[in-house]
Amino acid sequence: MTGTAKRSVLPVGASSLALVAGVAVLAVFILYPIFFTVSSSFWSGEPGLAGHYTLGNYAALLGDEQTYFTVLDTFVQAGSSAAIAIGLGTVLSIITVRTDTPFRRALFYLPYFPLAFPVLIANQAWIYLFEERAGLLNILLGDLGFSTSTFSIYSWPGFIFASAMALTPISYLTISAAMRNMDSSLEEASRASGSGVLNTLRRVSIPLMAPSIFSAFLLCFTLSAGSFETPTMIGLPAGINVMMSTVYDNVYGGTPNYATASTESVLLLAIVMVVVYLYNRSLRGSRRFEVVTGKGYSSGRVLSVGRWRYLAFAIIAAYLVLAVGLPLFTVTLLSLEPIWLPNDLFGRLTTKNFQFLLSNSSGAYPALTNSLLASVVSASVILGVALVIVFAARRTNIRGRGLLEGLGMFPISVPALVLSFGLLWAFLTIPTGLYGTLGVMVIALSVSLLPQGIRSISGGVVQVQMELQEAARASGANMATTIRRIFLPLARPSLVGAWLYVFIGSFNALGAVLFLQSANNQLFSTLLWSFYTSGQLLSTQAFAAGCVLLFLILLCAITVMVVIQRRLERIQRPTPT
Amino acid sequence: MSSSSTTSSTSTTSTNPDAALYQAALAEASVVVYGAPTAVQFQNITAAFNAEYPGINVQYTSLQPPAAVPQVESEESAQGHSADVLLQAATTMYTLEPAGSVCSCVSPYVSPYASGFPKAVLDPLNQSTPIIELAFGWAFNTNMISAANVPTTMGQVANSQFKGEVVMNDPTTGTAFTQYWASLEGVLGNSTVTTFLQDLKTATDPVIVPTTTSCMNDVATGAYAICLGGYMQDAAPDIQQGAPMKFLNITGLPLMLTPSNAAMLKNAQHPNAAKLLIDFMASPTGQTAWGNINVRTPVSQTVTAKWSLASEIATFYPGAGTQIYFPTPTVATSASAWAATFAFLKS
Repeated sequence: MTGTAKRSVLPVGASSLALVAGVAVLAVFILYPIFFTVSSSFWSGEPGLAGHYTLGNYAALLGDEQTYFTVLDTFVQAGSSAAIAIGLGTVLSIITVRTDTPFRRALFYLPYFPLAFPVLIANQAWIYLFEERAGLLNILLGDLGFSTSTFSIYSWPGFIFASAMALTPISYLTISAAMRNMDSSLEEASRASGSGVLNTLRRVSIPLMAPSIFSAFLLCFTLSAGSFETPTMIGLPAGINVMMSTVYDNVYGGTPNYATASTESVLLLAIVMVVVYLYNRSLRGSRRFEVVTGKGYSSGRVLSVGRWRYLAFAIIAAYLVLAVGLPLFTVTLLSLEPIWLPNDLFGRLTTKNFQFLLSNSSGAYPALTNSLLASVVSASVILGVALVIVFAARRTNIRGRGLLEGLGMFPISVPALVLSFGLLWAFLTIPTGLYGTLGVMVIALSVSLLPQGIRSISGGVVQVQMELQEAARASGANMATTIRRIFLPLARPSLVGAWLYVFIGSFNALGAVLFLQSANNQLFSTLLWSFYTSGQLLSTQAFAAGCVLLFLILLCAITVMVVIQRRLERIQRPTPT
Repeated sequence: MSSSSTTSSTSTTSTNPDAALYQAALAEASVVVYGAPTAVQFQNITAAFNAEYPGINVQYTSLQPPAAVPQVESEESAQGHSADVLLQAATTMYTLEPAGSVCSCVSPYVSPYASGFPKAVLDPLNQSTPIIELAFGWAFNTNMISAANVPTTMGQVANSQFKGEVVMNDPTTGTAFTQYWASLEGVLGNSTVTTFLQDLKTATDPVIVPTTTSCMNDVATGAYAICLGGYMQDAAPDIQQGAPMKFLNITGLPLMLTPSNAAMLKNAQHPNAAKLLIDFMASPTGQTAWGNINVRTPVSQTVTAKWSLASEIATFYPGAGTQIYFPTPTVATSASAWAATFAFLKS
C-alpha cells in the first residue's frame, strides 16, 4: 500500500525490447511536437519557411517590459485561483470525509458533478450570470434596489473566480482521496486529550495533510497556467493578459505571429516545468508523511462536530448550488430562448434550439459520433499505455523504466494549446497521412491526457499484492501473462474508474485538439467552440443547447464512475482496528 | 471557430453550360472550402451547387478569419497546399493575396461572372471574386437611450453622458475593425477620426471587446448602450427576434461596406472543382442562393432574392450614409501599422 514494497524481477528479455519501443513511440508523439515549438522559438521566419536560427525572438520577448507584467499576471491568476480552489477543496473534503455531517456518504460524491461542466460551458454560464448590468444576478439585485454592477465577471475578481471554480473539483478529488487514507487515530488521540474539533483540525488533520494539499496546489497551479478557455473568454475581454491568452492572441488575434507565440509558449513551458518539478518533489516528500501503514490503520472514524454539522451541510449545499445549480439553470434557460434578452426571459421559451441541434444541418451527430469514438479509443489507448508504464515503473527492475514514466508524465507540463500547436506542425510535416483525420485527434487526446491516466491507475497497481505477482513468476509466467492473468482481474474496478475519468477528459477536451480540426474530424467540443465563436444568433443558441446535451452525457459518465468507485470502496474498505 | 459539413450527391444529370470545366471537376470528385459563413448557411450553397453540379463532394469548414489565416498559412507552408477555396472578407483576403502582408497563399482566379458586378466591389488586385457584401454600422440599445438622447453626430457619441456605456471591438489587432478605422480616416480625414477617437477615449473610456459580434451582442442584451461598430448581418437576426437595438444615424458618417471574396488557394488539389464552385457562387443561381439565406446580401444587384443590400439597409438601417467600400489593398497590408496608431484606446 505504501509503494515501498520490494520489486519483483520479471523475465525482461522481450519486455526490455518492448520498453525501448515504448520509449521511442512516446518520444515521437510527446517530444517531437514540443521540439517543433522550441525550434520555432529560435527561428527567424515563420515555421517551415526560409529563415535562420536566432536568439532574437527571446531578446525581443524578454526586452519587452510587458512580458514581465504578463508573467506576473499569470502567477497572480494561477496562484490565486489555485489557492481558492485548494481552500474550497480542503473545506469540502474535511466536511465530507472527516466530519459527521448529515448524508456525508452521499455528499462525498456530489462535488464530482461540476466535472460535467467543461470550462467552456461553465464560463458561458458565469458570463450570463455575472456580466455587469446584463447578468441575471445583477439584474435580480437591481430589482431589489442594489446596483446592477454589483458583480462584474470581466474583472480580476471575476477572472479568478471563474478560474478557481474550474479547478475546485480537481482539488477536491485530489485532497479528499488523500484525506480518506489518513489515519484517524491521531485525531482521536487529539480529541481524547481534550482538544476541540477546530483545534484538532488545525493542529493535527491539516498538518498531516499539508504535503498532499501542497501537491494539489501545484497541480492546480499548473492546470490553471496552462488553460486557455478562461483567459480568452473572460481574461481578454477584461483587459487581462496572461501567458496563455497572449499565445492564443498571437496565433488567433489577428495577423499570426508564430515566432512570438512559440517563444511565449517555451517561456510558459519552462515556468510550468519548474512547478511540475516542485510538484513531483512534493509528491516524493508527501510519502515520507504517509500515515496509511497497513497495520493499525484506521480511517473509518469521523470527528463529531455537534450542531456545526448543519453549517457544514449548508456549506456543501451552497457550493453545489453555485457550482452546479446556477450554471445548469442558466445554460438550460439560454438553450430554451430564441435570443438572450435578460429582461424578457420567460415569455418566449422554445425548443427550436434543440430541434436545430438534433437536426442533420447542425453537424452535431457526426461530431458526437466522432467524440464518442475518439474518447473511447483514446481512453483505451491511454489506459493500455499507462498500465504498461506504471507496471514497468512500479513492478519491474527494467532499466529505463523511470525514463518511460517521466516521458509519460511529461505532457502535464505542456499546456494543451501549445501541444496542439506542436502536433499541428508535426503532422503537417511528417507524411503520416493522419492530418485532417480522426486519428490525429485520438493521438492528441492520448498524449495530452496520458498523465491523468498514469495518475489514475497508479493506486490500483500498488494495491495489488506483490505476493500474487511473485507466485505467477515462480510458476514461469512472463510480464504479459502476469498482467493479463493476475493483475488485470484484480485491478479491474480501479481500471474501469480510471478509464471513465480519462473518457470524460477526452470528451470535453478542447485545447489539445483546437488546431487540428478539419471538415472530417470535428469533435463535439470543437463544434461547440465554433458555435460560440461564430457569433451568429442561431449558433449561439445552438451552443447553449449543445452545452446542455454535453452536460447530460458527462453526467451519465460521472454517475457510472461514482457507482464504480462506491463498489470499489465496498470491496477494498479496510477493517477498522 | 470551426464547424463543418460534408455533402455529396451522386446524380450525374446536369444542364451545366460549361461542360468541360464540370467534367474536369467531376474527375476531381471533391472540393475543400474554408469559409467565414457558418456551416449551416453554407449548406444552402452546397445544396444549390450540387443541384446544378451533382457528383462533387463539397467539404466545408467554417473558420472565422482569426482561425482561417493561421490554418491556411500553416498548411501552405508545411504541405505546399491548403484548402481549394477560401471565402473570407476582403479585409482578410487582401492580406493573403500575392504581396499581401501575411502570405502569398492565393492563386489568382476571378470568375467571369464578376464582370457583371458593380466596379466598386471588385478586387482591385484582380485575384479573387466578390460573392457577398458585409455592411458595417454603429448600433445602440433602444431601452437604454431614449429617443431624445440618441446621438446624431460623432461629437455627441464622444460625450461624457455615455461614459462606461460604449463598447467597441479591439482596433489594435490588424483585423477588419482596424481596417475600418483606417479606411474611415481616408474618407473623413485623419484629424476628424483621430480627434473623435481621442475624445471618445477621454469622455467615455470605451470598453474593448475581442470581436464585433460580442460588441453587438453586448448592446442587444443591455450590457452596454452603444456599439462602435459591428456587421449588420450579426445584428439583423437579433433585431428580428426582438432585441431592443437600432443602428445609429450619424451625420456625415458613411456606411462602410466590405465584400466577402472567394479565392482559389495556391496549389489547390482540386483546381477545376474550385473554379466551378467560385463560378457558381458568382453566377445568378449562386447569388440568388446566397440572397435567400437570412441575412446575407449578394454582391449582384440584378438577381431577385429574399435579401439584397438595398432591402437589408431599408429594413435594418434606414437613413444609412453614403456607401463606401473598404479596405484598399494598401490599408489591408498595412493594418499592423495602423493598429499601433490606435493603441491609445486600450491604455
